Amino acid sequence: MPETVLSVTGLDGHYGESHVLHGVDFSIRAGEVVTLVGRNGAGKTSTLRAIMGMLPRRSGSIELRGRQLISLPPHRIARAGIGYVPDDRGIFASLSVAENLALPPRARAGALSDGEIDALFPRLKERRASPGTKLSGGEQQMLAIARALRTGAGLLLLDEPTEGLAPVIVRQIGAILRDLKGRGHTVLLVEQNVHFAATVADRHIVMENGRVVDTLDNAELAADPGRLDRFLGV
Amino acid sequence: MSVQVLSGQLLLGLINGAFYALLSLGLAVIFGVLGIINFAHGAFYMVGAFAAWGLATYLDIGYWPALVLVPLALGLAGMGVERLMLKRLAGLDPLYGLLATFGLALVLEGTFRQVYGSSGQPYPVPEALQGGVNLGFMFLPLYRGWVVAASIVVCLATWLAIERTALGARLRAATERPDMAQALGLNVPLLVTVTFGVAVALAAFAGVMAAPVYQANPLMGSNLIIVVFAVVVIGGMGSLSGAILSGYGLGLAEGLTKVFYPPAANIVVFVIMALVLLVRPAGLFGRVN
Repeated sequence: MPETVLSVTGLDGHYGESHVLHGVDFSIRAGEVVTLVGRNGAGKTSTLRAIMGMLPRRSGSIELRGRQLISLPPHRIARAGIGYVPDDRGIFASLSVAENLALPPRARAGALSDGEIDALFPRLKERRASPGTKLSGGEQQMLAIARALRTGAGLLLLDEPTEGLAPVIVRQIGAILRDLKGRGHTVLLVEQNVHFAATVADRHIVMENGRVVDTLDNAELAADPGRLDRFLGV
Repeated sequence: MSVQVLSGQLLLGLINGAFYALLSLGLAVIFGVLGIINFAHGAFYMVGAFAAWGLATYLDIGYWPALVLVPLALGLAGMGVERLMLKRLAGLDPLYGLLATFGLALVLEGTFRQVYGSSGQPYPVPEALQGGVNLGFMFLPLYRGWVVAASIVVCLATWLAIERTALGARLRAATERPDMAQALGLNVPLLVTVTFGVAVALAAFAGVMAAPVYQANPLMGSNLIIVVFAVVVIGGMGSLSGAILSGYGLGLAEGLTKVFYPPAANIVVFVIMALVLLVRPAGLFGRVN
């Protein structure tokens, strides 16, 4: 069995007075693509932000390949090898496409070269000099993913990469994620679109009220499609 | 009116503008990255002038070494101020930062006034820049020409470093969205500290250059800082090119006012500020969010 890349245990998180994560537990093995699913407000985005150290207060344990991250500041967590793509894509308006791409420090082995990035994301190459926010939504998403990959991060956290994008772009992003999986990247993505999730992910972690309430793989999802609806239905 | 009078006043205006630009550039950078209105900026400028005077008086260290040593030392001290004081105010209402830096300015000014009085300590023009050249239409004192040229070069270099380099891109990212920049692996707290230090060093550099022109006076900073705030507002909060251009522009506007209607020279900057805010509330070069 491949090694465990990310292991989250008893993760609690707060925004000011509100307690948003209540002892979240899950782990991801090397090469897996895993989705976090659940209703709005279930704690999916907060879980990603807690892993990145972006919640004002959090406790519990977050281990990346055995290294404890819970007390590190966000920039050291990122440098430990986690690439983060937030739900708003986090593209800087005051930076050009090339500057956005080159922004994060490139510390680790296994970083994609500029040539590989250009091959994976041909549209970004054409728009290198444009300001980051002059891109379309799909191009911004590609830029955010490319930026995370360029650092050599072994684990990618993607928050709703398909949200608000046209079906043709969603298919492109699906192809990119399968390509990354083929290269051995480990991906944790928050996804509302269960059909999309089933085409790219190996496993689905279901969250409700700040807790993990179920985990199922694609075979289980295919055998019992109603099992997710119980948590996602209104 | 003679060409000499006009060009003489324009040169004086440009000298003032050189100091406005150096200080307002630093203020704009600090406001962008720390979200703090740094009231102590004028005090750092004053301490810069006194440090140059002190080096010459007590240690016999001249102008040129002072021009390097003083910004370095005060830049480091500025980093200490950021780490020990301003960092703890991050995330609070901007008023806290304004009050803290205002307090710091009062302490610095009070200390220097207590020790040196308020009459000012003379500082000689460096030997190499004594005298002047006759340009035909006016007499240009060499030192004044140097001040204008050096300030343009330093402002331009700072602007290029921020707008055109990889380090500058990190600074812009940290200004725009510090939490996201940090989640991408940038050491934003360090970047903020260094930025504050560099902005203080710019003020100290201006202070050393000002010493031979205005003497080292405990009140020189507070006299200047209010005008510099107006310059930043006119240029547009957060716009670096705006801060630089309106610095020189307003210096020239003051010089012209001295020629045509001297009594208004001290208020012309504020009149322009009021007019600009009426027409463009975000300032001349500011972006409306």
